[in-house]
Amino acid sequence: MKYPSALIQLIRELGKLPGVGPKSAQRLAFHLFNLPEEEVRELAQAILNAKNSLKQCKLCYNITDTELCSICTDHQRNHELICVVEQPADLLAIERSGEYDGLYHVLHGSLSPMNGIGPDQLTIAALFERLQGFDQNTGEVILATATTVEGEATAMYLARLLTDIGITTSRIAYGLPVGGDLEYADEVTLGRAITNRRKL
Amino acid sequence: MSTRYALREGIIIRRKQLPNGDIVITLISENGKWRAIAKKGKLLGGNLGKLSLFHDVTVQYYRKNDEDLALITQVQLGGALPQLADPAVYPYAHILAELTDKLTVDVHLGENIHSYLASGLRGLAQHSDPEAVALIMSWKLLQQAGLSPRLLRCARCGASETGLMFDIAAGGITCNKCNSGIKLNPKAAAELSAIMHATMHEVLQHPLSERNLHWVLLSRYISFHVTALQSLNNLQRFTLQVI
Repeated sequence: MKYPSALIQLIRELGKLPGVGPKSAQRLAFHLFNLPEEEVRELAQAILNAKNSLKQCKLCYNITDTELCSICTDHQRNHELICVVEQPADLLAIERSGEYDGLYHVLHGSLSPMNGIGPDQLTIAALFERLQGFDQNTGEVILATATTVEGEATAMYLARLLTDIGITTSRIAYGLPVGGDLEYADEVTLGRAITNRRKL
Repeated sequence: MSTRYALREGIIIRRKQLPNGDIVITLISENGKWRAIAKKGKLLGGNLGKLSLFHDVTVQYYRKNDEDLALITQVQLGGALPQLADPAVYPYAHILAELTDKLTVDVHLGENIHSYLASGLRGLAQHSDPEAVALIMSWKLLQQAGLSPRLLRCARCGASETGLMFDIAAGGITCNKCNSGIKLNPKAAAELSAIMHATMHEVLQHPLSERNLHWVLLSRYISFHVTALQSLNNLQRFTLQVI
């Protein structure tokens, strides 16, 4: 039996979502078909609203629905600390830790020459523009890019440029996950944990 | 162990993170280029640190049919070069990896291209002049892929006497009669000849003098005979600000 064209189109569109294969797309399509019309309308409206109202914060490039995000406008936070992350999801992960009360800057990627991502494709120029009014004596930039080769290269690239303009720069620590056993740690993580050990 | 499981070694030359947390990696090994997927490879776990770009790994994978993408089940790290993340070296490592990737699209080149890439990456990590290493190894990789430029005879007419013009389309130096292409100076021509015919160690004894000319030549040669490399196009923007 051939599916109606509207159903085929819905399955095709749902299948474009990350992590949704053809079978999942088909299940979702049938689920949507069985939902009351009001719920489907609400879902469609929520998607459209999010798409229309969400944008990047003019200062830190986090996702927001206002000109400046709630973190940048929060005067309770430490405005002399800027944590540089690759993606908005990384920002949310650090926020969940509850250990950081400074500001952020989202790069929206990491340097990858073979994928055509150079410094111009990231928000590096905006970061340096933002740092023009930064107090070099008390301010600090924390580089919290991923611990992949790409993330490490991005951090080292930024560190060199930031050091040149006299801004204190630090890199998030490498190490073992809390509650993990040494024998199950991979060699690279373990090696970095030994290299970057700290005195007690 | 079921025959559907197998072990294979390789250097990771490309790594693509999918939105659902999976990682698709491209490896080059002595048996050619191949691709595999690490399910949820982005999540914290034993395999995370090992499946990084430029790492030399041995992986156990599962594959039901030959046409399926291999599913990585275990990874063992053979060697890592953390120095390749240094911004002074990083763009050059990308050039070698991308060139290897492009050279092995249609044909499975054997041991040589794998060992040349390995020694190129080691050279980048250890030598004080990574730019020269990248230039030399790029030409050596082209040579291994059968795309060596013609330098001893005219690339157009085959005459034994050659001039100082390098014709990209013809694939080498032309004679004074044909006289087409990019003008080289005698030093650059001699350096190019040394790159193609001497060992990397011998070439590195004398610093390459005409860097810009060498990059222009290499970039145009690769663009014409292989394909345009994104990493080569990005090189100037990257290095201008750091090195």
